[in-house]
Amino acid sequence: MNVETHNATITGPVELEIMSSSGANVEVFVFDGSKHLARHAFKFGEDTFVVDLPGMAVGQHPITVFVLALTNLNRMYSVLVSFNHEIVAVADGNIPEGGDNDSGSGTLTLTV
Amino acid sequence: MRKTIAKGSLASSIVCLATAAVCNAAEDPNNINNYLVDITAGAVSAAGIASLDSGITTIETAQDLVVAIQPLTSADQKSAFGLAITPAKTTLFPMPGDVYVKNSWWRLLGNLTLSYAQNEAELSGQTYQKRAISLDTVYFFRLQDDPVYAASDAFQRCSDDTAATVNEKLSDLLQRKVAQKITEVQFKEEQKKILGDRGTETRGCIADELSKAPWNSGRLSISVGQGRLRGIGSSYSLGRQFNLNAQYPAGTQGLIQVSLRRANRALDTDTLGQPQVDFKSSRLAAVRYTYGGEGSSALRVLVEASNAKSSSANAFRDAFMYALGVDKKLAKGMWLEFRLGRSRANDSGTEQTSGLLSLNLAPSLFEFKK
Repeated sequence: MNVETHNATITGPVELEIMSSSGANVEVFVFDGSKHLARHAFKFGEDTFVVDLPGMAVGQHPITVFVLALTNLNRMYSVLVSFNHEIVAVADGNIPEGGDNDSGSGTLTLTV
Repeated sequence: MRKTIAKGSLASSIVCLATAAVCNAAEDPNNINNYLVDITAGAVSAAGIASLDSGITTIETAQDLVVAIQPLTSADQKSAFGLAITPAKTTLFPMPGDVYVKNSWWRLLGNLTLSYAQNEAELSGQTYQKRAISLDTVYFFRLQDDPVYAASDAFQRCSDDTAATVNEKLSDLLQRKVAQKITEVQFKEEQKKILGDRGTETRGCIADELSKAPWNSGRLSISVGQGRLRGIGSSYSLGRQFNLNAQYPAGTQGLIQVSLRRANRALDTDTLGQPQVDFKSSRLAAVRYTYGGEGSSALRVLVEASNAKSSSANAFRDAFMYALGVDKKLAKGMWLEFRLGRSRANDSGTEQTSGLLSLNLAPSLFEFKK
């Protein structure tokens, strides 16, 4: 799985938004360095998960996004991660044939 | 081992009663399936109309599609093959889960399966080719009973329950990466293992959750199909078939099932080779009540009535008008079983009543400790 990422600069307060429109079951993890920021497993009918991060300090943050997808209705996954509505990570594709799950990660620098 | 008043194996009958599922109807008077109308989902399928038992390719990807339609396009045509595609479940036209659960129409569309089958048949000394197409879908009355939604719901619960562990593992992995204790390649490998293991564990948890689903969830299935029989210089319709089946729970132990089937202008293959071939149209309505479908139940009852007629099309002719099955657990591994059915005979159309009582003893009752 390829998780495409983009560096971003935002002004606080910080709001993290994870969106999924997948036929697979999708779980997304977001870390700041090694500090866990957010995690969400989407069930069908949910397309957005939002979390406020008021404690995120001004400065540069090395962000890592992990995505795990398991086949369900089909193999398709489509995930977006954004900070303050600025898209920083995208994972879009299909779980390869012959397997029932796929995973990947991407890193970026977020400047607050 | 079993003691019977009428001979035959009833093990399969028990399973049929317990699950209200399809069992292959054998020529076994004990088999409850021989007393029942087929009211299971998807009873009208292209493969069924073309009498194709195997070799059906399920299409998920574009490559599958190319391989599946090869027999249609190549010079060396295969005589027997079938394909089935549920577009929403493929990578060609994948339906997002949030669309699937939006409303009933999307769920009907999400489960819509198109199938095609062709086969060869030897009838009245001539080789014919059967070709058939069908459409079918299934709809669960309650969203939470739909296996697709239930799996996504279970996925969230299972994932949330074990979130702390995986967060810790990923955090530890990132710490080692930042401290340059592992290379980028090692990081990717370990990440793949952590998330791969999580995928496997979560899938196991989902399967456990789904196994707790009620046995009698309410659902509706609809299927339509039609077929054609082609010989040298002749072509006949195998009829158009329509099938609507519905089931609804009656408490935790009971299940009511209704089946409506219609066949229009189906060829009576017995008349092939005669000066005038015959086509028949028929309607079949059946209702069935099942009690005690849960595995722990000590009493299982199945009652069914249908409007089967001797003039019905081939597919419906052997259906029973009335059928009753009662299984009573006398002791562990010991069941008293009763079957009664009134039907119209296939050949003569005359009505007949069949009944039997048997005692089924599990083989484990005859195993002695050394």
